[in-house]
Amino acid sequence: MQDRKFLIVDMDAFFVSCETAAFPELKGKPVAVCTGRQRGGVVASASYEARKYGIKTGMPSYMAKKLCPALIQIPADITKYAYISEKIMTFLRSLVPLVEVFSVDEAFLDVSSVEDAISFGRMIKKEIRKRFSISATVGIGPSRVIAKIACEISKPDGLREIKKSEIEQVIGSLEIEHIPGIGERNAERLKSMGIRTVRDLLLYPEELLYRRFGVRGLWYKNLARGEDAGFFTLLEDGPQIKSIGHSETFPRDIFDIEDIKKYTLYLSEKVARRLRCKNLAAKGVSIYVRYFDFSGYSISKTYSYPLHTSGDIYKRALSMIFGVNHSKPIRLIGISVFNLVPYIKQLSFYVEDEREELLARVVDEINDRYGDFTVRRARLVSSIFKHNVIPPRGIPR
Amino acid sequence: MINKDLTFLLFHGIHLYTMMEKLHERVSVRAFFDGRGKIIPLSIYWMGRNLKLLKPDAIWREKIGNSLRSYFSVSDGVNRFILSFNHETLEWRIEEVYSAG
Repeated sequence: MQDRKFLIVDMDAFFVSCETAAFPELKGKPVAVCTGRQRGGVVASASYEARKYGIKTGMPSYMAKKLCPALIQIPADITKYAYISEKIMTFLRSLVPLVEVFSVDEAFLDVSSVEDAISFGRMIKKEIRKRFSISATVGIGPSRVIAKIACEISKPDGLREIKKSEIEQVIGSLEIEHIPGIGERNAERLKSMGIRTVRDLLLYPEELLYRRFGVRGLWYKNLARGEDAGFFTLLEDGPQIKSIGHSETFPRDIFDIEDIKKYTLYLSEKVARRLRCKNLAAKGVSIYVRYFDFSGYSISKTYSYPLHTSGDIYKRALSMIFGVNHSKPIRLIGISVFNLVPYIKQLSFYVEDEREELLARVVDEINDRYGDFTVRRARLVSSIFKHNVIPPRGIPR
Repeated sequence: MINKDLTFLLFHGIHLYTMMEKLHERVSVRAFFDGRGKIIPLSIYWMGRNLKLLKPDAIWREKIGNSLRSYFSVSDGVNRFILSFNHETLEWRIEEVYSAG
């Protein structure tokens, strides 16, 4: 059987690249695309020139400006990024049959049948630059995790292949945070156990890893071996949606119960609409609350019955939010649903349930035609909600 | 509306653009349509002047309900314009203008 080969295309500082494509005057300057709000927002993407000053994704905008007073901050334009991303993904799909969109700015291609993967990667880079004025880094490897590592170590604008025979030599000495799937916090935990490099992780007894991290520990070990370990969605199974969520950084920190209810309803509507579009229901709801000082908490609950309407999600999310005593102003709320199952319409004993579903269907039809939230609940009419959320994964609807 | 909060102001003493105006104003545009969806604005008639545009630096689209809008980031060599074209009403608008003051 032929060995598998994967290629990842990862756009360099994607949001900033989209902006420099639209405003070529910004090329070569320290630029950050910021989201949330003009004051108190966070950096969503920083140019490599800005990164030299220590500016990172997720950093508060004011802190970024402090590190680099000459930083040019641009408000995020999610429509632009989503469109350019979609165009790039369409281009990639025209090249090979198996493409897995991993996030808004990266995709895996199964290039097992491509004879010269390096030339193929070079062509992709060239075309993306020519068509979209965006630079991309390409990584190639026998598994997705190795391709991703090859990509990460050759950023920006790089091209690198790690062959099967080179895996240990190339990745063995890398620090563990270079392994995709090992987050900052767990990397720290691993380091406290004396595991600093990939090689250390490989030599560490599996049993002890399991005791400390559970199944995740075994995953880490497999990832260090260069095996995908179920961390990535399998190309072969087609795209799988595991969860649907929305979060919103508010224009100002909120403390008022009515405001919290309003935003929770707004987010529940958005989540429920996407569920309905995909004809899915959810058996789990999770909420995330972030306070003004960036501390926060999250709660998840699973249910034995599927939830489908905005009302269903709103009630559960609200009870989770109000289940905690809030002593600080809130800057962000996120709601997501998981354990997704196909939606099967069931006859209800209650007329109200039928009416709510019928109403949702009619409202969806109108909003499909005239735009989201053209018709909305009375409670949301007076509110100004901007679509400024950048999802960490996936292309926004 | 002049938006001074948005940046593009000064960078190391070099003027990028010192002013950004959000206009959303109707404008006459001479454009090339290739009949297969490709649209290229060639010139605009704005403030009593005919401004020849350079090749668009970026084009993106937005779907609001059933209506489709294309956006173009174009320059006349001095100012930068964000133009929009509504595919339903065939209306061109200047959305934003970035100028050196």
